Amino acid sequence: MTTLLELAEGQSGIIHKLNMDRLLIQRLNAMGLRRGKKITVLRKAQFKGPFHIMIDTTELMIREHEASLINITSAAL
Amino acid sequence: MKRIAFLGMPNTGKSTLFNRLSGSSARVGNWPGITVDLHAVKTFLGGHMAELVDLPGIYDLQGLSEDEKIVQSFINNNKIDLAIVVLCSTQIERQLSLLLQLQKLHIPCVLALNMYDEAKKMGIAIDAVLLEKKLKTPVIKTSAKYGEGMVELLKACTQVINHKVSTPIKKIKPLNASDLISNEKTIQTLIKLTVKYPTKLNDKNTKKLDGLFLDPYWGLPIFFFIVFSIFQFIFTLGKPIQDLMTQFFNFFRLDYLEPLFINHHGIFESLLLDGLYLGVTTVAAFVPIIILFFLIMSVVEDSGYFSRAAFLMDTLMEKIGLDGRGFVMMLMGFGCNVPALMGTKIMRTKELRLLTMFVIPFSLCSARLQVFLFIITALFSATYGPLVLFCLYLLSFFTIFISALIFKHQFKNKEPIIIELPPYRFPTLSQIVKRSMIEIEHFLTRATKFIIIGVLLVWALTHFPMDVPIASELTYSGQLGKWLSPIFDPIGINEQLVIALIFGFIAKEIVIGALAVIYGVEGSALAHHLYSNVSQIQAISFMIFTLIYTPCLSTIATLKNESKNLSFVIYSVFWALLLAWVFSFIFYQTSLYFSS
Repeated sequence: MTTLLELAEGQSGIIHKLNMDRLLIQRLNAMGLRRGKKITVLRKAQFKGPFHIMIDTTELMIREHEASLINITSAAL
Repeated sequence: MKRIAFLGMPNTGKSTLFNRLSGSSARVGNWPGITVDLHAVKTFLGGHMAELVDLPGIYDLQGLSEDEKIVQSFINNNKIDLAIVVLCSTQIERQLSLLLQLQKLHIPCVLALNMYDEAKKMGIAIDAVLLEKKLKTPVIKTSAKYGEGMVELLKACTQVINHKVSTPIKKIKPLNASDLISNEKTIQTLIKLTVKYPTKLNDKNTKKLDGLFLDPYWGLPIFFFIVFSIFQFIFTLGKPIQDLMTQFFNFFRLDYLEPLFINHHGIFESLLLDGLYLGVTTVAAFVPIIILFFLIMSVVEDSGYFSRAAFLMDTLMEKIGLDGRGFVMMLMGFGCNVPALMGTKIMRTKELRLLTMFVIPFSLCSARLQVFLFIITALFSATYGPLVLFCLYLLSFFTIFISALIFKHQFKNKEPIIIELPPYRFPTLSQIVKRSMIEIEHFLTRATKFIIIGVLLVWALTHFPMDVPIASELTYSGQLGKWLSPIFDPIGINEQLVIALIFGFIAKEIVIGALAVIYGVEGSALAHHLYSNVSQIQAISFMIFTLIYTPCLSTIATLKNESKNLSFVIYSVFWALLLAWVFSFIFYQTSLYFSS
């Protein structure tokens, strides 16, 4: 099992689990981050900065800490 | 009276839709359980008086964020006859959840599939008729930006509010895991039935622009160039307008107001002219800057670039507890603190916003620059003058960073920073103008009273008792200065300068004018007088203190309006005074030590 942290720029994965409390899961769900969804890392800022990710038509900026809480499985490319 | 609430996630064009339907007459109102400003308007709809309320954009009804709490409290404390749920058509899949949550509470809803023009462009097609049948809720395709679907939306709303509802509205309850899963299933089924996605989603423009704006090497230089241009535009255009206004106010005073009092010299004239009139003109002087600021900033915000700025600056800003948007506002503070503070509205996490508002007043604004330029030209040679000014700018940045670092745990941000990067969009002119008008009205209604009271207070301090010369050492301000001398002597600030600082509390623009009154000389004579009466070390210490102690009454009024928290304001003013004294003390004492 890997987390979003391990994806390189341009790589995608399938969200397997959100490791956080329910309220935060609900919030992330509403932002489009849901189990089974394909997630793509569009770019990472330099010096351990935030991630620019895409799920369907939604693009988000997410910090490293939150990225480490998102478990993913590899996507069939 | 029927109450109609606008609900939706952020970046769905909800407020644009609200503005479309409400005209230009939106006012700020009060509701039980709500402490923040919500825009509302009364209108006539389907034979009823109706009150339209624009609620903050939220992702989830249940959450604990500031905005979510506001919406929860509004729903639990106010009867809602209709909720207009606004969603962004291209993101319908994740946004339907809000509607389902509202339906569970038995709130009558109308769903606006907004930004339908964008969905069409992307090749996404939604079967609104079928969706309406399945949801048992009217569904209207709209494009608030271009005014499409407004008539249909109003018609649907009329039908719903004229329909008698018998089921009472429930209070918000936390969802359990099975609710979540069943909602999820409902949404998936609905989407499969009613939405057709193209095989490949493409938003080439946004991809291309992001490639440029978020480039690892060019992103930051472009960002600074954009911010610099905005800054130049707002303040080089705003300055002459402000100057013209000042000239007009002076002319009006000299030619029209003063002759009125030709036979009534004395305290009444002084109260009206030096007190009330000064207060009104102080407020008015901010109007052009605030309008210009929001004209430009709403373009930046609505275009989607602001979120990109947050992305670019996040790595650095995270370390001092701020975010990229706060950084932009801080830079804008170097023009004028007031609109910069108002602009922090876009940050929707309370702690983050408070910390940003806490540091903005340390930005060396153009009003303080005027004071420094006068003093520096009077006391320093052309070689050292620019260096002194440069050091003051450095000190300004240093104060901001040190304050953020010290207080970042105090205002600890408890929420994860996840920011949407919406597609790049062009706002329409009417959207921009409306936003500026709302902001300026907000400033005028909220700040005027506070500023005028403050000006009158300073007027009383510097004009009473009545039988002594104005602003002299015998007035209350002079006595206060004397009384405070144990505090100000160690930093080299004498009683006359303390009186100037008391004036400077109103606005930095009047410090030089105050010095002229205090010393009884003006212009180059004042410069000469300063040169022979104030040492360079004293002058720098005075400037350090002026830079940090408090920007102006309008800034404090804005701090109070925006934070709605008096103890926060007192806290921040006290910190500024303390920091000003400490820095001046360190500078003054070490300089004295080395020069002796």
